[in-house]
Amino acid sequence: MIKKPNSLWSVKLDWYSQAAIFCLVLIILTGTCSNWIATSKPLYIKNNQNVYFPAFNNKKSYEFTTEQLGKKTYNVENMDWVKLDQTKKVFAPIPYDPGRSDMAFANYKSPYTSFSEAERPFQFVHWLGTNLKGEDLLSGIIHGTSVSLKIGFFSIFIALLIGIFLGTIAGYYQNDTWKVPLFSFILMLMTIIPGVYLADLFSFFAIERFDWKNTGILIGKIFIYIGTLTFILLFSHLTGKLIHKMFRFNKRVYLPIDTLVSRMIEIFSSIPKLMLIVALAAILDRSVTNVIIIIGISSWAGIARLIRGETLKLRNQDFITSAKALGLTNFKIIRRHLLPNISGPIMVSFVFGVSAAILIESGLSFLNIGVPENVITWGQLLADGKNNFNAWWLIVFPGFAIFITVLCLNILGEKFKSLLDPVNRGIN
Amino acid sequence: MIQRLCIFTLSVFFLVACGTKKPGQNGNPNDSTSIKAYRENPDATQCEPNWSKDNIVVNHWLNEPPTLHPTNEYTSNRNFVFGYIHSYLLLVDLRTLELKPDLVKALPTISADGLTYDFELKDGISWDDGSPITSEDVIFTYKANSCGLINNAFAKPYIESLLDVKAVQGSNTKFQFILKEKYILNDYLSTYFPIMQRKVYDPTNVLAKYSLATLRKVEEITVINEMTAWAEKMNGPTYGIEVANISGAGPYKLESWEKGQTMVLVKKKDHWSAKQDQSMLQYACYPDKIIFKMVADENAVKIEANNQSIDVSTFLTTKALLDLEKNPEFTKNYHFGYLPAYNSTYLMMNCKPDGVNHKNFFTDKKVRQAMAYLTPVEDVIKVVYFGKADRLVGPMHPNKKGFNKTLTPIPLDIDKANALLDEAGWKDTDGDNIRDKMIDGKKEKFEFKLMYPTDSPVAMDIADLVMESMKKAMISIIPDGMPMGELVPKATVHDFDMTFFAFGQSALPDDFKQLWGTGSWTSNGSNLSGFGNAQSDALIDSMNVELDWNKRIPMMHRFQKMVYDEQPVIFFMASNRKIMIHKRFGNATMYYERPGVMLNNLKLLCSPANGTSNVQ
Amino acid sequence: MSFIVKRLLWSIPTILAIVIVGFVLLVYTPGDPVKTVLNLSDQEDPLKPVSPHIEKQKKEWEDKLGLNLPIFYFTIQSSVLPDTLYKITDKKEKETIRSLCLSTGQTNMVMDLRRGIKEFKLTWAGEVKNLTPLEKDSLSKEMAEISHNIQLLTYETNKIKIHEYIENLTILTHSNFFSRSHGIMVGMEKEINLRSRPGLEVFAPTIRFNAKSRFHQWLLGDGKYSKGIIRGDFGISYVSKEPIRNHIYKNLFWSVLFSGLGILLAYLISIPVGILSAGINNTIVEKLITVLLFALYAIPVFFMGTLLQTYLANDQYLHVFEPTGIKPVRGFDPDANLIERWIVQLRYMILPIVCFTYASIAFLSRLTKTSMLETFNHPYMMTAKAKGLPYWKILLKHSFRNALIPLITVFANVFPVLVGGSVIIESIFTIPGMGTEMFSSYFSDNIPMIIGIFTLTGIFTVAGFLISDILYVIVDPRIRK
Repeated sequence: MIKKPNSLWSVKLDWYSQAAIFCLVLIILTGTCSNWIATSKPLYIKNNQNVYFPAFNNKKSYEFTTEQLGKKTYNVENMDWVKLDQTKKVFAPIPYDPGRSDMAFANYKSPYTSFSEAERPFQFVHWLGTNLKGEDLLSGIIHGTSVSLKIGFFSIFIALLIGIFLGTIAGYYQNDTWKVPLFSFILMLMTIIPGVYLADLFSFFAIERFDWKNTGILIGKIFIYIGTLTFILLFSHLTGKLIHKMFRFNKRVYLPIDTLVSRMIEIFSSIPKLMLIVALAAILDRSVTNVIIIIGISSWAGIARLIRGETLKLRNQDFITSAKALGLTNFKIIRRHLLPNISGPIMVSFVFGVSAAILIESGLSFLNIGVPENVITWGQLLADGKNNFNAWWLIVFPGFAIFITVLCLNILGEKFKSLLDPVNRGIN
Repeated sequence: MIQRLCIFTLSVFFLVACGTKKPGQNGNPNDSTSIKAYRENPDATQCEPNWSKDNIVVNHWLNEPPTLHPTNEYTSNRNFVFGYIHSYLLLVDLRTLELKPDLVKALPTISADGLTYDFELKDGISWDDGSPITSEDVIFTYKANSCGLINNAFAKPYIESLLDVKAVQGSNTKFQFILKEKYILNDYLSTYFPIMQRKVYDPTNVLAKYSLATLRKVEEITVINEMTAWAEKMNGPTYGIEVANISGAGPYKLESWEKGQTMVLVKKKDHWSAKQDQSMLQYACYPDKIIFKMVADENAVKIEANNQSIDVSTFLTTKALLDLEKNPEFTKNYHFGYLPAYNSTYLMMNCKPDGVNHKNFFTDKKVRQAMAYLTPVEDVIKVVYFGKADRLVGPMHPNKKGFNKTLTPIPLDIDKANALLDEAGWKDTDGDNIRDKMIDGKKEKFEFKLMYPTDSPVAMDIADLVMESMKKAMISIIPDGMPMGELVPKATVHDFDMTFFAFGQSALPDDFKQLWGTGSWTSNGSNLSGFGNAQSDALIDSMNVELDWNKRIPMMHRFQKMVYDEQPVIFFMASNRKIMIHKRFGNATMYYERPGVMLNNLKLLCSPANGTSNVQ
Repeated sequence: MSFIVKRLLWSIPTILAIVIVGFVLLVYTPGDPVKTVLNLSDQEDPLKPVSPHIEKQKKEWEDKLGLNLPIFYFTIQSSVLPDTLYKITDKKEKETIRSLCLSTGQTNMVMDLRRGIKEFKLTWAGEVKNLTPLEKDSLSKEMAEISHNIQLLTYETNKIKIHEYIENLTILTHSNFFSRSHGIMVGMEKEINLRSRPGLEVFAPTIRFNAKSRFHQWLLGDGKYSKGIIRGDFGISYVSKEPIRNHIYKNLFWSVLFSGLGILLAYLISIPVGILSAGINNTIVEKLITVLLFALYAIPVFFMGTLLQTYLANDQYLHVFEPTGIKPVRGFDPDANLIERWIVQLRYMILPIVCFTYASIAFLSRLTKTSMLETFNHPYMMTAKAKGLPYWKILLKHSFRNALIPLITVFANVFPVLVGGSVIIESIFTIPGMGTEMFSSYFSDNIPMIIGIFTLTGIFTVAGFLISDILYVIVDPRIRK
């Protein structure tokens, strides 16, 4: 077995990295469990010997028996759970839905006023204040977590997919490894344009056939384009090989993969990110998916460059050479030996990327071109408060949520980086 | 023809809001004399040492008009500038909202059949180059605006009723308007279009060769080359962007325009308006310069007001002004106020849906009434407008003459709404929390789309509150936000279930035909909801020709009651106009009508020489 | 020298690619440019056929914008699509025809359908014109429905619905007043029979080469309406109708001024901070600095901007700077000399520049620190240490010099961030730069302006890369090989 030079998982972390990991896990948990942490529906309710768990299911109406009204059907949207008598109830820690107004606390009530003016049980205080419509800020932050993280993680996931793929093949194959028969090469060049043509047709038929709604169209199109192009290129490659074998034609050429990818990287990093985003936003509809795609395709270039560089460093090291000598295929070498060894840089760019994406999203929300208004994200909450500096809580708390997430991610990123850095390792 | 008012003022939309604290009910409703539509502020008695002493007014605006083209620019912001650099035939006096002559000697004499209007230009009025303003310029202006080659599609409906403009033989100051039909708002035709100098805009006098009717149907012109050359130049950027070419007969001149920053107007020397009646608001010009400063960021506007670096603003948000009010420095330095303005926000229901794309939810009067009971209008006013808006009850603004005071606002009453819906046959039979009903053997859910403009954060908030409230009556609403540019065309072809719509109306007498006549439903006009029947149409028609207020008012009351009973739309509110004026200026009057402040009337109180008050 | 030439040559394809990306974005933006330019409303009233002169104006603008040209030098499209599809400039119409042709494969029938609809509209409008007011009133309901149906039919792509609408229209026009249009509809009902699925011929492509293309006009100009991007012409603004080049360069000046000063300041601050933290590595102070820098990095720029504006440019708190604009609204004091003017000007510029800078300080100082730490292990450092030179002297003289190289490399990364990140800052401080222009264009659908700014900033960033590469070579001659 070939020794892995540096493994991330065998290191002991110092206390602040541990704290960062702890915070992140907490934030992710909050995001995933937001529906049960902050909801107006009780977690548990017992009425007339029947036990219900309204927060955990989507039941639309309940039948409860009370002394005054007797048996009655209650509509979930309409009912006031607090006023329901004769029942045992356990409420969620934050008993408010996001985006649901509390008229008694409308017009920007600060956390302080919420405490002092609330003539209700301690649990029903708006801990972090409310906004114009009396919506609970804490509930908003908790529910915003999932969308913000979703945008952060998925967009960087897209960027990583593209970046890793292009970065490794460019770094590993360079311009002098992947030899293909001349026929294949010519066929591949020739079939790119027909490939695009076919992909265009296919995507048209797919959209017509499956009747995709707005959000699906873009993703679907991208997948069909990539799929068709890959298929066509593979097809022409194989055909070329076949011809090659049949005619015993010896000429082979190198695919200039590195040049191609490097050019692409340079082009993409030449386009200012926010300009690209605004230009794309002018074309696409406003939706969370589109924001993810936009951020994803505008940030892969940096990752690809990093990965390419790392791959280049490893490519001529002994363990790769010996793997080659053992006769492993290139694909296997990349998958088994190369990728695990660049997991550090991947991790670093992932972590930094997520925090950058969260910041970009908040900037987009500020400019009112990001996610739709009815989707709650931290950026949306921040943008809501930016014109009301008196309502400081609307800025401070969502801002703090962003800050903590970004800080934790960055601490981790730095840690990974320093662990991988031979210089630091030398010093330590 | 009648859809004009509404479409034209749509751009104002939620930006300029209006409302009132019911400042007097206009006296006796039978009194047909003028109404008071302004608020005067007492001049400051003492100058603060930190007040600027130069005779320059800095006016804030949120965004600037893209161009200052005399015919092709239609954004509402152009009006703020045009009022100072251009002159019109007639003007609306902002104090009384009556028409006053501007370039003409007196209001037009109208022929017996009401189709010919005779005007005579004032003496001693001239362009910047010293040449007098003649009927030729007026005729050119109206011809150019009618010309089919000019890209002012938005203004064409306004001028449609004009058949011809003729010079009276033997005089170059007298001219005639020939109109298509008798109509109470015909006068206002002469207030829309700034008069342009023929020599500047059409040096070769191309348009003189064609009649107005021909120009309107340009396809009838055979020799077209010189025409198209002229139109191309006219439509081009020359007269809209280049500072040197933007000029008019008004008392101010555009001096410089730095895009995205400032626009500077400077007072003309020895302008003819100085010799005219100074009681006309447009002629009393005091500031040497008027600077329009663009500040787009809401928070920055507040800071600028704290710094006293803007003197006047009519683009404040309610929240911003409420915040500013709390600062004692601000109240020391500025006059400010929330003034009523004439516009209205409605929630339109599609009463005549096509049945395919849009279900027959709102054809039933009971359902419509239930919707009205479900709309939390008071909450919206309290929360979204901070109480600075007036509730509307019927199709008329409460601050207008002829308002029916017997109509009472429909309160938020979910039980009553539930009862009405049950009565109408909408019940939740399957327990999914959405009401349903068997229609033609098919079970229909009470689920519909609510359109709202995403350009306005206010609309979004209102939509939120409405949706939440309706949910309580087991009605499911799908929010459907879109930019104004998409919403308006969709709404006008009745492609909606329920939509927000705001009309920037004016204080002019209401022509109910535009919003409530069945004619403007079929012609895709402004009757979006589809209200109306033969009876209401007849009432509207008789109102439009009835000039006697004593007879007209009972009819108006009857009509309002009619609409109120049908509830084809949910009447929301008219929000307030927010204005601030620096106290270093006297004459600081605020008007209900746009633009809210006459910048040229502002008189500097603290002269630069002694630095003390020169107020007597 | 040859390296620089080679590098210069390599930047040409990059710029070309950016231009192509811009062009693709321009072509695929939704909306009808001609309608935007001519202030025409989007909705169509079938009762009001467009006047031939409006058509003429439309044609002219189509020529000007190159809309009636094929998009690229060659066209490859399905054989079932009509050859002259590119000539149809109405985007909705084009999309409808394309969609119908592809999903049925019956090119001729689709074209018949389109012709039928057009003819019906004209005929019907003519017939309506001849009605007396009384007849109009009695027919108002039918007319509204006909108008509704024909509007729906115009852009419908669902075959079943098309047949449905045609049927509806046949029934609705069944009166003496609309006999001619009824005839057209009856004819269409008979003729139009759309297949539910196309044959395999859909996949057969037709290829054509075009001497004149939209791309050619956009890139190189056509000698008549456009000079082409290559000569600095980015097209015509939809809003003001003037060439974009007339004011884009003024915006560019402010953007470049602010970002240039921003970069300068970022380097001036972050290098000393980096050196300091390298010098005191692993102490409490260094860790504090790190956290502080991260905190700065994590603050969204719009929050920072508003914060600075509210507390440093406000009479209520501290009025040291000016909140918005780039110079005094009333102009400069005429007696002031150049230095005084610049002092006034700086009051407007410092806050935005700080906003441009603060986020990159974290990044740059980290980089300085790490690259300095890297040099610690090199033999020459050991030698210097052995010689007994003072610690700080070694740090500044030997370590920093070598740490400079990555800083220059990174210049290329900072540059686009600064140019592009300006949208938010410029809109907060009302700076008439590329950002505000881009932003207002976004809301007024002024697509050529957006694309123009996009392309221009792209080109500038390439220039930034070029400069950094050249600097790199100058500092470290080894790179040349």
